[in-house]
Amino acid sequence: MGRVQDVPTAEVPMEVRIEFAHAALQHLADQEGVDLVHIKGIAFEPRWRSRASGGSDADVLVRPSQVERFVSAVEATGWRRRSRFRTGSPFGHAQTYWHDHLGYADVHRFFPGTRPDETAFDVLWARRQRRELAAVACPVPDEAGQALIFALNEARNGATVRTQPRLAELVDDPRLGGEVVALVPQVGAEVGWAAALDELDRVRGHREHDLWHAVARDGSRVAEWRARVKAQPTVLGKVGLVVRAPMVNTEHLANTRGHEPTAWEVAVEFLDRGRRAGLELWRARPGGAR
Amino acid sequence: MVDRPEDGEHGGTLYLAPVRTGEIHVVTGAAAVVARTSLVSTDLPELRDRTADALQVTTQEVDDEVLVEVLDDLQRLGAVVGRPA
Repeated sequence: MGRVQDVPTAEVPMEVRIEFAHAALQHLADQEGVDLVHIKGIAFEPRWRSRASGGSDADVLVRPSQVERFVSAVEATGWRRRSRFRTGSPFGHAQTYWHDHLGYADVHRFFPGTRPDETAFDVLWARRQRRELAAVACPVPDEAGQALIFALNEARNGATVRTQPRLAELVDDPRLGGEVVALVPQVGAEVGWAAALDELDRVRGHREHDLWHAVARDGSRVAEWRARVKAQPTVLGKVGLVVRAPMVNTEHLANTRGHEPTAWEVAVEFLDRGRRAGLELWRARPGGAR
Repeated sequence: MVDRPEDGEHGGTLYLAPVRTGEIHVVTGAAAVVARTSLVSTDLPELRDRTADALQVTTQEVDDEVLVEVLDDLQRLGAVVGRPA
């Protein structure tokens, strides 16, 4: 008769580990009275997963006003932070955590392409459904919410209706496509949705246009930082970004090096960032080499 | 609990983890069948009948000592709270 085995004696498939990660995060949310929805990967219907395998981590979207409380609880229960909101991505939307048994999880304070405030979360929360993950009932966005998050995620990675067949199918679907189009303004996703439709020029006047263009089309770090500053709604936010721009992301450095960076490694990276930025600006000058 | 009845040997694979610690335990084969059955009942005669039925063997072929041993493991993991009579 088979026996009960402990990891690492027995192999645990990635998707099983991720399912438990979702369940553990939901348990924490229930314990702390925090609202969150499980997003992407195995939390979504297969049609709305970017990767058929279901991805490599568990993603949750937390009610913005409860993020601080939730991450405190997460950090008190064996999850170690691997990136910060402000430095994790150009959108500043998520913090990554590692758990020795459950692997990686991304805690989102908003989803890139949606308004980073309570109102966008309220819309998704009001339409939530339930999905059993590791025998725990987990709230997930409804079908239109899943489809929109899939579209925004694909667009952020440079895909459009012209290159991603599932995006084209969504747009051509009169029922679901119509529901998604109606949802877009409710969560402030006009620019990201335009990127998915390959119609970024249509929203050129929008504050977030340059950021989406830099992330989904351009790719240069200098363009991305300029766009991040432009996308900030407040002067204080813009100043904060400009001050942080030359700073070294020590958590990213630790992740790539596999150890806490020394003062010397941070200094070398600081100088190298300046050199790379200078090179990009030189190449971007009128008539410069590409 | 994550149940994969089609994975691995006959009886499949059941993964169990306490939500607090996240430590994952793997139950395979006939033990997975017992674990699944124990979710319905931990009453020993019923557990024996259901296990035999699921494994397509006679009840005489199911060893009560092994059932109790698996239930002890599951109880240690917090997967079952009841004990066989």
